[in-house]
Amino acid sequence: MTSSRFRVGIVGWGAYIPVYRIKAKEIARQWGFDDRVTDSIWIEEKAVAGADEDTVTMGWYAARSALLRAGVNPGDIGAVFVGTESKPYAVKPSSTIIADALGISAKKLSTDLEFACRAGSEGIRISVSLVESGAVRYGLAIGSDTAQANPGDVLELTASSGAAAYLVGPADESVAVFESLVTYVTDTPDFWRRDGSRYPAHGEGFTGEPAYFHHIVSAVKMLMNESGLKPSDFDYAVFHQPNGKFPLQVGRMLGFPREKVLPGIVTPWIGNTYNASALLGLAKILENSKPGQRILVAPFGSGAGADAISVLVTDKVLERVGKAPTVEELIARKKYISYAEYAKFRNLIHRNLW
Amino acid sequence: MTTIQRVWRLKNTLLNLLASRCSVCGHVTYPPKMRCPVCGSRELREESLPREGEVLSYTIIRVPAKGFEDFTPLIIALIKLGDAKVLAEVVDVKPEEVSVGMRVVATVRRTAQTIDGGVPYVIKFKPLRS
Repeated sequence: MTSSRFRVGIVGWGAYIPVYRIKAKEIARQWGFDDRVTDSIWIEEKAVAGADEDTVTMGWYAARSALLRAGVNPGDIGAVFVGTESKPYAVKPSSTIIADALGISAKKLSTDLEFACRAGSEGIRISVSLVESGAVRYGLAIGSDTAQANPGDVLELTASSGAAAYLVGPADESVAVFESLVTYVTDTPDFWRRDGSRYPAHGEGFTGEPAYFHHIVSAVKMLMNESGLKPSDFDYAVFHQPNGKFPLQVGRMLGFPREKVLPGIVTPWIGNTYNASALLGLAKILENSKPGQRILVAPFGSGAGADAISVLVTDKVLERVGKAPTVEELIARKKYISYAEYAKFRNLIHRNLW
Repeated sequence: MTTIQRVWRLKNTLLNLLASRCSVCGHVTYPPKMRCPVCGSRELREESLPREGEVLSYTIIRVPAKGFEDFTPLIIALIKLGDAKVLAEVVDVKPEEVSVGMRVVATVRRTAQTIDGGVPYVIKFKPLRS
């Protein structure tokens, strides 16, 4: 466990959700699914990135909002990490494109991280260690994805696009301080995409029990054991959200009442944004939190692993919420599109380019 | 069509909205020029334009140049940014939703792939309240 109690925190945060939405039931009808499948996993609609949006553009927007909220000089940022499984380039970092566009100094660590949906939170963990050790003053961790799903796969009902960014820095400048952070990872083949494959494959029901539930429950229990905290000590619990149902279910397994989990759920209205999923939930909670409240956030990534992170909100949160668009504002601004428009935007239509 | 190297040479100018202001007549030009296009003076200083502005005029391109099919219809607008006028794409709106006087804000988006397979990132504008 990294115990960074009160020494390192979140100085700024930012979110991005594309403006376009497609109803999950429209996708279900396209492929002849039973309409009830969308209700069974609680997905109403998902966010769709426009044709000119990708991990870089969305990550840039979220990171810019994080910097606006933090009010720090971009030149003081010593590390930039982008967690994604949808890089525009197979070889060429997204993190350097975003960092340059933000005016961050060349004197920095910068890399793209890959661990399915939890690479962004790995970026937070690395940033916490770098700040804690004194190696950097601020570290920027971004989770951004234009999530892929094989057309006609049940995954297509939820796989969506979005980004979240966190600027990690000294606790005395922070809106929330890290209390404790743990990670639980194993080799579990629940979801993968081979090199050269356009879309991921998954082990159907295997993605639930031995993957999502086992890893999140193990990570959160590890945090509770090592920190002495219990569910009643937390005001909110945010989990990775492949759909609307799983986070409520894992919250129940861990003893968190529904009212502590519901406020951080975003997936039913924007879909599963992969690396931004739990981090957007945390952003939404921060934007509605009060100083002194304690939040548990537990991202999960297939392959598989989960983090459990405990943060305590400070009084600085109140003055920074209004400095950039909130998650609720981004969810509310939307334009519905058809399956055909979605297919065009997400490059699902094969055509001759020349 | 261009190359990713050409985009790279211009990226700081374009992404940071760097313009040139003429020290003699005050005209502001984006992208910056070596010589003022109005009075011809070489006494220019660089400055960043504001990121928020107003649509002065626009046109809709429905038959695009090769490579821009994914983004069609293209909305190309003349946008007032401070003392400068900038020609750029407006996104996140349908053609019928654009209007003269619409407030817009700069955002980073990708545009048509370069001839060498690169992904160029450029400044486009989206409605301020979206």
